[in-house]
Amino acid sequence: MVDKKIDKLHATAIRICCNTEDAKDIVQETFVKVWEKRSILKEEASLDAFLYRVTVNKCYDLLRKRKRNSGDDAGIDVLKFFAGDQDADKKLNDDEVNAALNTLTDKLSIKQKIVFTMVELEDKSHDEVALATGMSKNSVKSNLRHARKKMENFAEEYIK
Amino acid sequence: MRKLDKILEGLKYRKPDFKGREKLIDSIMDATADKEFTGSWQIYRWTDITWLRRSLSIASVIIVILFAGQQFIVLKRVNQLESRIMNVSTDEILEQQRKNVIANSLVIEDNELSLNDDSIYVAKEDLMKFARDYRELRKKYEDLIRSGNSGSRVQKKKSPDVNDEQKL
Repeated sequence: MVDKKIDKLHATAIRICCNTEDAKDIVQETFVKVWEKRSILKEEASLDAFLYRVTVNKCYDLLRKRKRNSGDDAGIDVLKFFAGDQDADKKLNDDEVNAALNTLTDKLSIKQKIVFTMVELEDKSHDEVALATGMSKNSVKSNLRHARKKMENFAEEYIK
Repeated sequence: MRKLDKILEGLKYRKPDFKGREKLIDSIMDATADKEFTGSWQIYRWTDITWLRRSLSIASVIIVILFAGQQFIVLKRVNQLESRIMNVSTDEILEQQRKNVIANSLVIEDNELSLNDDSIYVAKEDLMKFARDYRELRKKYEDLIRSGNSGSRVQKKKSPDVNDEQKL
């Protein structure tokens, strides 16, 4: 089960937290928690939902504790690279991609960041995001709309 | 294509490398194995049973309600008991006082002393004893008088007989 689910969970965690080590800790804690609660998780579907829910909750807690680094523009160059006529084969390391994502989502609230990352980068449906975050579907849509608006403003203003 | 869409496409295309994947899996397996043998997991395992958790919550609420109800009933009964004790004691005191008044009035009537309240202070027991003694003495006196009267009558009856004998 760990081998099957770990990649997706790790990708989600690293994109929300924008930090490799934090993402690994979150994934490990998630699986341990699922192991503790395995008696109440019988179906595969509920297991998946529970995994994402725990991961998202842990990411949320981490982002709340983390001091907001407002005005972080470490990843602006990477974002400019993405916005331009990018070279698809150009190799970028995780830190560069994380920095770019962090810069892009810096202006978003934690909820908006989670919803935006899951829908736009992880291709999750609104229902799946609602289940993972505990929000209503309308709330997910609303957060996504606001997030997209902020992102577009940011892209127009800072990435030229 | 707008800038944001291009950026998102670029970010989506470059999925994060998962360095140390096997190491992470091993550490997860170790952590879960440790949890398996941890006593605390066994102790609190029942908390995973939803119906048990719910029924215990309901039971605790019921116990609190019962306790509050019981306290209310106990307080009400204690109050009733207090008022009853007060009534009984008041009745008893009044009854005793009534008896005392009757006894005193009887003593005073019997003794025909017609004492004023403020003229003399005598203990009730002494007065009763005095009244009893007086009554006893009076009875003896009356008996004596009665016996004296009957004796003189016999004498009166006998004396004519003596005279008759003398006459004879």
